[in-house]
Amino acid sequence: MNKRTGQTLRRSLLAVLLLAVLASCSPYAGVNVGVPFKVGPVYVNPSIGVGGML
Amino acid sequence: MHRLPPTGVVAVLQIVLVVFFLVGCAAQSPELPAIGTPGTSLPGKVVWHDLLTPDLDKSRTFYAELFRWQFEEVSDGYLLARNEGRPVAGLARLDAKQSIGHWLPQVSVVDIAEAQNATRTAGGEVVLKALSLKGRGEVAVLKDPQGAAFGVLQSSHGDPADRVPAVNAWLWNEIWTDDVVGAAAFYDQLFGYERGSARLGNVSYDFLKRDGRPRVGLLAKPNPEIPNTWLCYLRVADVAAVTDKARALGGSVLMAPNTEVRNGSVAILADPSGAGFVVQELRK
Repeated sequence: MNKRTGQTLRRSLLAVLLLAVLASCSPYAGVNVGVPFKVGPVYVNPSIGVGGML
Repeated sequence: MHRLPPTGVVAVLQIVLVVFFLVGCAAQSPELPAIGTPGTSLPGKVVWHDLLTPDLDKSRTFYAELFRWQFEEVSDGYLLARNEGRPVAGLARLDAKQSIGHWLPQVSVVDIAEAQNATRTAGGEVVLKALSLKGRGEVAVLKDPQGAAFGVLQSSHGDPADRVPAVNAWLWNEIWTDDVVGAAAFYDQLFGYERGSARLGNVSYDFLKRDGRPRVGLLAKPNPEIPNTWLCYLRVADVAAVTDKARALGGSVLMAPNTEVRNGSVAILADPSGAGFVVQELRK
């Protein structure tokens, strides 16, 4: 491995580390909960809104 | 002509830079205001809501305009929202791999380690292991056996007392599932709930309660295309106006106010990141 390749690798590693660190400032950065809501499906149900009135 | 610094010096500088960022991030890890009263413990109550969003700035603008929430930066990836001065929600940045937002309710628990164990034992999933948030307590993200995600919070500063929700604050929470019986059994075991039901006109409504207080609704989801999920309700003063404004701000209307459902007092919206929520007027 020549000197230039070593520097490039080190810089890439540094960039990845910084991105990982910045992302980790959010407590939930990597949480994946899926895609519950989308435009298109029918959401109407006569029970919607009853709970808010309990 | 300037001489470049030796490679060793550059490497040391780079390490120092990484450590600087690590320390900086740790130092600015969320120092959150208390949301409850010391000594108040209301296990089974939804005590907080966080929006997980891929675009913090866009979400901030949307909710600031829609509900007049005020925001303050707690850390680089987390914003605190206030409604009329009172903490109402958090906005947390998702990493670049995810493109869809989601509202995550947090349910109060007495022992977060026990909640995680009980979830695993019952066939659920621990999505995010318990982590400490300064000023708040310990938080974990779980999924029930049907796949609906929710958070749990072991508060270090007490839970918020029950009160009538202000306009533009949280009103109610529901679980939409394709297995009402299985979900009820899971949440009963996890949070010590009992089952309750109410009738409004010709509509029967099932909910889960603890210590006599209704805490979360439990519905067969209205459409099989929708994954099992928790759904969070916000109280608004004018549901039609909020619906129009949400659309103008780049949100989507998943269910417009209509006479078939609570006489037009409720709508289901999604923010520009795709996070769904319900808005409801409380009419007399």
